[in-house]
Amino acid sequence: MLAYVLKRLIQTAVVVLIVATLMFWLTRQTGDPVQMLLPADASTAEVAEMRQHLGLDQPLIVQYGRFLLSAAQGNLGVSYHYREPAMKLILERLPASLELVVSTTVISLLLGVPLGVLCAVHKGKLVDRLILGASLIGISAPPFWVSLVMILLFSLTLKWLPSSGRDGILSLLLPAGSLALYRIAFGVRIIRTGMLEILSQNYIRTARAKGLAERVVTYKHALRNTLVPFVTIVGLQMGAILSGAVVTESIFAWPGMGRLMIMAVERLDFPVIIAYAMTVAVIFAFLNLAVDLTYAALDPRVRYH
Amino acid sequence: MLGLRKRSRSIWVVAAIVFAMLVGACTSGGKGSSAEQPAGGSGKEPAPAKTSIVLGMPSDPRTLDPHKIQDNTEWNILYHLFEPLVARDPEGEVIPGLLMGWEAADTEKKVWRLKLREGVTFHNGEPWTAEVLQYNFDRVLKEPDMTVKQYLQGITQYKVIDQHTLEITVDTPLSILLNGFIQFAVVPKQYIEQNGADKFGREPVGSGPYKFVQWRKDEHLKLAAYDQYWGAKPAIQDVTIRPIPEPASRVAALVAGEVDLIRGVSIYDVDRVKQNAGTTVVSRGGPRMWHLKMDLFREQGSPGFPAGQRNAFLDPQVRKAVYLAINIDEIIQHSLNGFAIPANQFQAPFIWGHNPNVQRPAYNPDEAKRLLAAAGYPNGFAVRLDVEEGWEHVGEAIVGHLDKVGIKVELNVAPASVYRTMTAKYETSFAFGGWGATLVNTSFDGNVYTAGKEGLGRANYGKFSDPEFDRLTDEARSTFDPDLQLERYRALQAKVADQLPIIPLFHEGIVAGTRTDLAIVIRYNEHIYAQDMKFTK
Repeated sequence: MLAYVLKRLIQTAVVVLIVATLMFWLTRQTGDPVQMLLPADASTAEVAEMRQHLGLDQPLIVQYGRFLLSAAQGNLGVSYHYREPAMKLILERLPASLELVVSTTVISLLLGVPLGVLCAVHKGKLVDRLILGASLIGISAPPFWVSLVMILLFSLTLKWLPSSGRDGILSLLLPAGSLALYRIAFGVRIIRTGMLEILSQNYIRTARAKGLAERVVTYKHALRNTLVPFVTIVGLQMGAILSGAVVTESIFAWPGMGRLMIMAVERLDFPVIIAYAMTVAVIFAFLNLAVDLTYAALDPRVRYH
Repeated sequence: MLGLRKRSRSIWVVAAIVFAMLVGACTSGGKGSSAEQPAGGSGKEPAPAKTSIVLGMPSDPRTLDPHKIQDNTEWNILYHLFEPLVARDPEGEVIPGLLMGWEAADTEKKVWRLKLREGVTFHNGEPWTAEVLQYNFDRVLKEPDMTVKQYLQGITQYKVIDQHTLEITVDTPLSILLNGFIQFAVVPKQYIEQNGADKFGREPVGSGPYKFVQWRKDEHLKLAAYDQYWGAKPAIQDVTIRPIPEPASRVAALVAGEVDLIRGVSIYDVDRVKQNAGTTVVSRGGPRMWHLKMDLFREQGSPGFPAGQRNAFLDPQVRKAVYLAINIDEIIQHSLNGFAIPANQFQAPFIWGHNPNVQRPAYNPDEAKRLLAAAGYPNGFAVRLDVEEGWEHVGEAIVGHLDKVGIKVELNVAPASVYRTMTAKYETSFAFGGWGATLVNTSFDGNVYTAGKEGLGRANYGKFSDPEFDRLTDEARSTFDPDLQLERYRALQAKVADQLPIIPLFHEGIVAGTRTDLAIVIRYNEHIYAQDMKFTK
């Protein structure tokens, strides 16, 4: 098992290196950061000086070499815009993004799983149809639109929740809620399908024949077994939530990594863009590893080497 | 059986507790005191916050060090903590501030004595002296990452005469320097030397009416009135500045009562803010002049023209035709909701250097067509117009107007970074751009002066070059006679209107959204300060 984990860690390192190289090259194609850094009335001499100061006057391969050298020492570069280490900026905002990801996941589980079970147990009845219909809307509605509608409803009309900013648990509910809508809808359908498939299995029939209460059959046997592959999906979804959070963070002025990234792209802040891409690659890789290991722990049939 | 029931229920209990703990632990750092925010998200009616205010701004400053910032919003925010070396009133008139005045120490007017105000202290108690001013000049001229060096250009020497007098030697008229000094904020010597520039950029000390309380990046900046401030005591004691980049979110925050003022209301949201009970829109004429730039150096191969087509803009008749073909009143009415005034020169009527005798010719599409025919384009021509994201509505209107006279315009909307890179590399034939235009000298130096000459002309995307323009600009910039200077600049304004190296369009109005019971002042340079505000109830 240890060998397996080590192998995965090495793979992660390779992936991160590839991501860094790709982003390094890609960012240099997007434009000239120096134009975004100085006021419009700065002279051409200052522009040239700034370009040299940032090392952007060197040929691409030299820039890349310098980047690799300092990255190897743990330094991912200094943000052009903030003049602070790019990694420090990202780590400062990581907690806010993680708050969003974790609370979105928890909300979607708290609502998605029970609703999915409800649908499966009452398959075909009105309850099932209604929830399925609602989940269709949840999956199709564009996240940007969902966020704005929720602000309109909960902040402007009902005045229950703040429309933006990060200031206490109430301000977390709208961003997490709008991100969770899609996940709840998705979760309902997955749980429902999974449960239905398992409920038609032989061992369920056996359990019922044994005289077990329906609730035991539903939760201890059917749901437990559905949850095992569902864990995989939840883990991978956390990565997707992190990406989707980029738009949500902008609308709700939530001070997370995603918003930092969007602003870095607008400003051509190359070091931050590259550091963000590498961070997300690492997060995804670890999520995948965690999911695989959890799966192995839950399902005794799974082995790794 | 019982055991199982308990377990399945307890799973949800555990999950709920974990959720609450996680969220509680994570957000305990993010909890602000709702006493400082009128609505605080609790949904109750906003408490009458008489002396504390929440401002919604379009962005967060990159640093709180005023020598390392770059855009209008950052200066607006930092001018609560800091003050410029030269103070101006809301209309732009120079008034005594940190500097009481200045007098020439020689007859050629190249040596000046700057007189500092006495009795001024920084927020840490440090006194404002000539030594501190000297330190400020040293810092900006010698240290890396300074973005305000160009405002000291022309100072060749400086030395301390006494505690409140600094003598400077210049090779440029003082008036030009004084112009630049409004972007030049003053920083405390002792504090930076003791604490380092990094800490200064996070926990600043300035001489302005508000002192620093707390800064959570991208969340809020909290300030409190400085009780030892030398100037008028502000009515507002506590200020919270919240960065809300999305315009729609900013308006939502204002309408929901979470902020008391927002800077930057988009045209589309104006009605919503006006119609909402408790909020309104405040606007004034602004200095930013939006105009069209054209390729004026390539005859063939101009990137915005179809391959093989000659660059039509080289002909002054074509430029005049474009000027006449654009119905600016209609654009202002429909695309800008009335928040602009037509422009005929760089400076708006309330800015020094404006020439009141220059007129904008009336909209005349027939004359435009005649001019095009006379220039050899009876059937018009095709060209691409490059526009920065956010200005599509004006771009589309221009396309429509030019189409009527036969000019087929393809609209290319690009994000700011792409637009700026492209124009800096002269990859445009026809571009819609804006210029701050609060200072007449930089308007000409930046836009009309030969590109690259003496480090100027950075915004001259069409590489317009006319020796007569350069000569007049040089004279205006270097004369030590203020009357001659004004005369030269006014002549330049008339020359621009005549030769059309750029096509003036409009001066953008400044629009802010506020509570109805809040009186604010919008300054000539687009800044809105808490120290100018008070609640009117």
